[in-house]
Amino acid sequence: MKIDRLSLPHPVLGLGDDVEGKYEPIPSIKLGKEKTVISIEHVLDNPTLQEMLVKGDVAFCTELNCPQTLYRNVFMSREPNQSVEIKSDFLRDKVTIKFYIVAQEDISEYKPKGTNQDYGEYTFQVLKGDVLAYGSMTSFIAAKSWEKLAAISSFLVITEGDNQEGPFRIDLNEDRITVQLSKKDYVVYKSASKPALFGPIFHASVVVPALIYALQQMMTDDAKEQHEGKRWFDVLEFRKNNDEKIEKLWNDPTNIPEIAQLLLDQPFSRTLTRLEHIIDQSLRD
Amino acid sequence: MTSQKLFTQNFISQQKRKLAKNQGIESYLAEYFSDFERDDTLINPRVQVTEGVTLKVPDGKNNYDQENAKILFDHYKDLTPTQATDVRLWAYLSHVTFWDYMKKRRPIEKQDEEKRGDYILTHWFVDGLSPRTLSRNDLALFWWGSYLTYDSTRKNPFELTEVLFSMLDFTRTLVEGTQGRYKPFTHGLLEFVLENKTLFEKYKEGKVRFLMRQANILGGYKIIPTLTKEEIKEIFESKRKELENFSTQTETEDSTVSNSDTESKESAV
Repeated sequence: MKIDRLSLPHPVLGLGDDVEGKYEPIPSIKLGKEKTVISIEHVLDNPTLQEMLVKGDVAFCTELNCPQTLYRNVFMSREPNQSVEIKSDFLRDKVTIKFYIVAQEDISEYKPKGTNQDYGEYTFQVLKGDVLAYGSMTSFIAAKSWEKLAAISSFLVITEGDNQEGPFRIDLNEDRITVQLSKKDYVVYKSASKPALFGPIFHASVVVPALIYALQQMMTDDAKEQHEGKRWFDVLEFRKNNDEKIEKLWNDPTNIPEIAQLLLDQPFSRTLTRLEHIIDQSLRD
Repeated sequence: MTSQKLFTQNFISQQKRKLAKNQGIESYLAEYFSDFERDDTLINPRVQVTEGVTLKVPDGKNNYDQENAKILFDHYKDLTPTQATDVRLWAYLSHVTFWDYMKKRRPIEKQDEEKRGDYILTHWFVDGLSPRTLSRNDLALFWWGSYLTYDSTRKNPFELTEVLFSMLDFTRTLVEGTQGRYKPFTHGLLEFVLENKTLFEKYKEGKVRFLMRQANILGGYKIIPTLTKEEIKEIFESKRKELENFSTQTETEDSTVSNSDTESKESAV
């Protein structure tokens, strides 16, 4: 329900200037292997709704929607601090959370304090389940842990391509950014990638250019239309929305190389450190 | 019991690239699928299965969707939802375990030659993960349709599954749509149809579409998951008169009104 594009037949706190006051939920998400915990501080400032909450006429309604696992459910609470636990097995990739205050029963002559003068002297008949406040929407990427989300494998995979030799190709049409190495290169990559020693070198030489290409595509006008819903797109969007530094750099394409390096935690520095270590080891040997 | 085998992502990507160019079709016309090596598979030890399950093979008159949904879901009942989104699993089951079924259910030789690659991509794979692509692979649809409808409290826990697979409209709108993800909604709709057999004797498809349109309109301004199954059924019950008076003319008029309704409400839902 795209409520922020609706005009409902009664005033709704949080939609335009229907009602004075605020409803600003503050969520925090804890990812875990077994369960995902969403803690919400429901910040509400409107005396009518606050009173109705205490009486039980209305309740906070937190709606979770995960299209990939066909999961959709609501969690109701009358407490300002709500904790929602979901088995992590029920969630995958992008999960959206929407916050509402809804009527718990039919209410006649509803007119919250601070209703816009444009409504005049009218009062409203509200039915059970009607939305009385909207606290906006947020989303997160379901993963077993934040570390997994930061991992390159959450948005990129290296596979064997069709050509015997030659340059690698980048495919953005799959769920993850797919780097297709030539068959010859893939054989070497497979054996070289087994010891974790060379990880940063692969990051710098293969992942960085692939990520730069993907970021360029993300900044095109039709990026959302083309790629939203693909795991790589959702993960990178999420990383951007949860990193102030990256978010500040985002809208300028000239910052793409820097963004890529921030996302990969300075791969060139790590490569140089690793090379130094390898050289050091070989000199000792 | 044995660990479930999967195709590797690498193998799937290679196959998809070939099929996108309409290449490799001959492998799908063979008696069994042999275009893979041992290295193209891996095992998922978290999914343990008994071997030897078979699906009822379509015979030209009957696809046996209802029976096969039960067989497949029973066999893979312990899958978690995230495990059931694994595209590697459905690709392996389509190409190996249930090859005979897939060949009859989705006969490639009946497709125009230049469209065969796309046809295979759509039905033998889950091409990009979404409710829509999951429902285009018959095996994934059997699992997810059963997942949404299986009810262990019923005498026949697959009773609603049978209703779901009785009509394409149900699977398309409930498995792919937002409303259907809320299980009480799906159960409410299917129960309403089941409990009112006489009402749905005539114009069943049109009437179900009518109810779905009403549900979508409601979902445009109300949070459907705040309603119980019984409240949802009451909403359908309130449309009884319209359903009783339903005719093909009603369907046309309703579609016309709803189409213009949909244009303005599309962004609302």
